[in-house]
Amino acid sequence: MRASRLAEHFEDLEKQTHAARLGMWIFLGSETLLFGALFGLYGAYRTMYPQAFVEAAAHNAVWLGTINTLVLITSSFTVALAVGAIRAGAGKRAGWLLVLSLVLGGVFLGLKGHEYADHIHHGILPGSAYHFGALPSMGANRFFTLYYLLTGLHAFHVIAGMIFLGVVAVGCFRARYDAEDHLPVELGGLYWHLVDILWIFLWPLLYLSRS
Amino acid sequence: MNHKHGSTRRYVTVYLALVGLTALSFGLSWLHLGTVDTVIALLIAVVKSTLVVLFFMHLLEHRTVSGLVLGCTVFFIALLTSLMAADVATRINSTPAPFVITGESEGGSESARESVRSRAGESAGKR
Repeated sequence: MRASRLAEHFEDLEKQTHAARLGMWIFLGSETLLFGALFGLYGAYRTMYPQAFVEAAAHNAVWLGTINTLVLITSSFTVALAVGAIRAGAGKRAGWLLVLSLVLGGVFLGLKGHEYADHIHHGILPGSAYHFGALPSMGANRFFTLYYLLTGLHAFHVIAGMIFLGVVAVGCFRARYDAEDHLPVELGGLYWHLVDILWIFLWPLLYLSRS
Repeated sequence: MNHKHGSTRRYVTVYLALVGLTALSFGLSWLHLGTVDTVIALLIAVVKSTLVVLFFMHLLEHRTVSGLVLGCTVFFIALLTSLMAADVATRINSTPAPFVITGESEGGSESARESVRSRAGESAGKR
């Protein structure tokens, strides 16, 4: 079992683990650049339409955004605890902590969906489908189009992260990992923390910039 | 066992710091400080993500390699966003095209025309 984990092109398990971790960090870096392009667009359009962006951000429900921030930070915390638990060899505990993180991810998506429904009800849609009478400007249109792109892309990452954590949680319950051998748990954790960090930046840009 | 308890306590401390910084950022947003507001909020976000990276993502443990990748990422994002912002900020003429909402909306076209007029005035005043 232990021997089969080591691919033949690696000298030992430690080197393989290092390589896997490096690969994950590079992947996360490229993910961040994907979002970086949208952050750049946000900066550019905000420079063009400063007033409209502030007015449009004020229309977003700041309470929902803030609760979602706390939800994601808490889920990041429980994932960190899960990694701590599996490092100490407590597979069951790690599994339950991951399940708790999944529930929090579900709460996040639920609140996000509620917000989307509210926006769509008001005619706030991306691009040319936008027909929100209260903020009829190009700037507001650009803001909400970016809002959908940024939060939509982020929501896909939340879903991907939940699938990753779900698979790893099942592994924890089936005692597939132990104190020495738990690389997938760590990599799943890394991915989830990236999702958290992205939201940490989305929150001030989309909800707090309202003065 | 000892190690485990130590790390749990550290995670709790980091978590409380993150919640505290979130509350701080939220509170500051009610003061309506203007553009400074966004800058401060983003600085707080940088501090929060640094905490997440250092402790939750264990950068402190695997410093060298992960740090190199992280450094590259931050550098390229800074390059991308700052050059895009510089491009827009230094344009001579960036008068936006008129914007009219099509379709059924409550009194849309009248207010849309109004906003186009007011924005034209705004951009003329800016130049």
